[in-house]
Amino acid sequence: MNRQLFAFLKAYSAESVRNFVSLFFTVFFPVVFLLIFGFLFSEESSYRRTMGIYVDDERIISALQEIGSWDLITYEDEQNLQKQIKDGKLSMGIVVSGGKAILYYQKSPSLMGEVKMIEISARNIIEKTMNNSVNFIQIDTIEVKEAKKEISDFDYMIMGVIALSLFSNGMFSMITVFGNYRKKGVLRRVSLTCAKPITVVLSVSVIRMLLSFLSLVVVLLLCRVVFNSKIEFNWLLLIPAVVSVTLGMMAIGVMIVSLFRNPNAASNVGSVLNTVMVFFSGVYFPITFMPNYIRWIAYILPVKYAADLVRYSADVQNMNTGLFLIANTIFFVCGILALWFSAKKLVESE
Amino acid sequence: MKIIKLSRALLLNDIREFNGFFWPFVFPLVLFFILTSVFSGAYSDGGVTFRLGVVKEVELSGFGKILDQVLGSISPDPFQITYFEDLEEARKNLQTKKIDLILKIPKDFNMALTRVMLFSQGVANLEFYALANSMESEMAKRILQSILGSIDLEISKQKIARSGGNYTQVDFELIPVQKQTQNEKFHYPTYIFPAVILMSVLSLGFFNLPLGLIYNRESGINKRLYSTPVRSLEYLSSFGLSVFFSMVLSSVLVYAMGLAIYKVSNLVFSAGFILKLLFSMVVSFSIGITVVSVCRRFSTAIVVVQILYQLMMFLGGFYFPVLNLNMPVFIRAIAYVLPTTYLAENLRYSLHQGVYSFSQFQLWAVPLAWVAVSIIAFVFSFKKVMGYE
Repeated sequence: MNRQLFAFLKAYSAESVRNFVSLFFTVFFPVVFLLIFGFLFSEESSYRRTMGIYVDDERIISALQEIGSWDLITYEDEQNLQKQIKDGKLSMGIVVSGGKAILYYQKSPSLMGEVKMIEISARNIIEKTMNNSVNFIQIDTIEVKEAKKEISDFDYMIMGVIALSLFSNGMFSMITVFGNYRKKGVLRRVSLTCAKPITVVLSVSVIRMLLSFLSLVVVLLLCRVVFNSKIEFNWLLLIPAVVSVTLGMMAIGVMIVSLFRNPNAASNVGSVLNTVMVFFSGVYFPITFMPNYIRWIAYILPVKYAADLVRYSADVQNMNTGLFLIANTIFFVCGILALWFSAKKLVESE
Repeated sequence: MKIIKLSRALLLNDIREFNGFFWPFVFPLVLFFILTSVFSGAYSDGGVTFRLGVVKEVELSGFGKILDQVLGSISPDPFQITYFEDLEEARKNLQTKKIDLILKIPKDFNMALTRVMLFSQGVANLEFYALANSMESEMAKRILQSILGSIDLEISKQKIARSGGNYTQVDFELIPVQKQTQNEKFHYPTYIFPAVILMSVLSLGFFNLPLGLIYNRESGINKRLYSTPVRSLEYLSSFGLSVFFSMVLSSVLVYAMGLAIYKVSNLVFSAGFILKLLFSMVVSFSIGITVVSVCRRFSTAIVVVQILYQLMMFLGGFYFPVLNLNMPVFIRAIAYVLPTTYLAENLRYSLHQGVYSFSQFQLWAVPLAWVAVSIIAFVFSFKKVMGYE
């Protein structure tokens, strides 16, 4: 058994490394997404908008700066400010002159909500400054952390990206093995040898698990080097979480290949599911943005819970230990059952 | 005739494969549904609601009733309000994301507000508890802050009026800066329509064309083809024609879904839009043939194409206007040189859903530059690309 397992481990690891395309999609494709979304949102996540300003009363600049929500660039004339917006160098700018305020903005759907909010808050600040009014209602904001540690918004998002990568790695590993290998007749040839089906399945899962860790390490290294990420994991929690989540995601892959015998169909279903996870899991886009009638989808997607487990491992998720154990156990048991099922039904049947 | 026959055969060969049918024809429709479901709420008026927890340490009375009225006016939209007996319970709900924000009204609020209103003394304190790393919480906080700021302003007005002074009311105007006035109301499905259609066109131009050509070259199909009277240019034309036909078919399906289900603007039938769509197909072809010119092996091509495709989609602003985000300069520069940035914007411009302020010259020149470079690259490597050297 041990010799057999070792031989399969060696063969499958060589196959995984030699298959450049598969290796790219397993280890480096999450990095492509990380780089795209990381650069797109790393500076946006501070929620600070750069705004141009041209005013005839310097006090207004100080008052707007005090709010701390915007980075202000002062302009000497209104035309220049307008030109910057027109040229796309600025998204919006305020002109205050002679009791009149104008908010110029690029007509973009992504800015409409912000424009409305800025209209209310900037109007208040400008009017108050012009009338020398003081604050009558003072609002103090206390930031509540989900758990003990404080992290940046970008680091918080990265943990979701890691969960997504565990999902795709786990799911597609099973689709590839039991879809493509079945189609190419590899499973049939293996079954002609004395190899036990469970050995085949075990070797595939172990190598895929290692690739999951490799992908995780690459993502974390890149985050640290490129995005100055400060995520600190408790590896004693993260390792079991990665193992159980990857196994759980493999279960989804096995379910897909069981339902769709055609490997192309299975692969496409996997890709659609992957797209659904990206958009609905709340990793990149807040669930609140979704209409009420589809928000429930986010709560039935495993990636949401996988992301919670990864975040708990970094001590940034409010979750009690019992729940952490239960979620891990569910992923783990589903994975083991699926692997047993795949050994019995998918490999043995060949 | 030979070209048409061969292109028909190539098309049927593609469509008979599950992948060849699914990605160009089915996936764009799935994506259209997903995008419209996820984002239409965020971009519609009153689409997003936040969950506000209110902790009243005192029952509001006297001037404090103003706050009660405000809370009444913002519920249920944009805030769904839940009242909590104590702060700890509310904090637990915030930490478990059952609510997005807490507003705590302290014990002395009535008294403090009365003092402020009658004697203009001191300030009335309120407390917000916002969740760290939560965009929802941050947005809810800002909106409520703005609303409560209006009360503050109202008190100022009353105070100045009571003291007989002149209150300067600011005339606040919102002006969208655009090259041309676009009067069409924002409609998310119409806004996303060009992105979906471009996505399907690009997937065919990026994947089917180069990968098909390279696969045929690697697997020896080209050799067999060239042993027939088919010449390389005829083969390329047939391949292009079959991909073009797939693009048209895919676009027709997206049109049907957009018009029947999401009621996208009828401007999608305008000559301008259709012309720009055809132009997008040309650009997509040109990038496809560049990939074949550069990549010799199928495995290299698939990786290059995937990376290019993701970059062109996300940085090209298909799903959200990336140039309006605070991106690092070099990423902004990449977005500026991508042809998809201009193709998507140009198509949106025809539907009156444009988000940037590019000149007509930019909208056409940048993608045309890509076409020119691609043609040059292709001409120099034609023999290699077609696999008969």
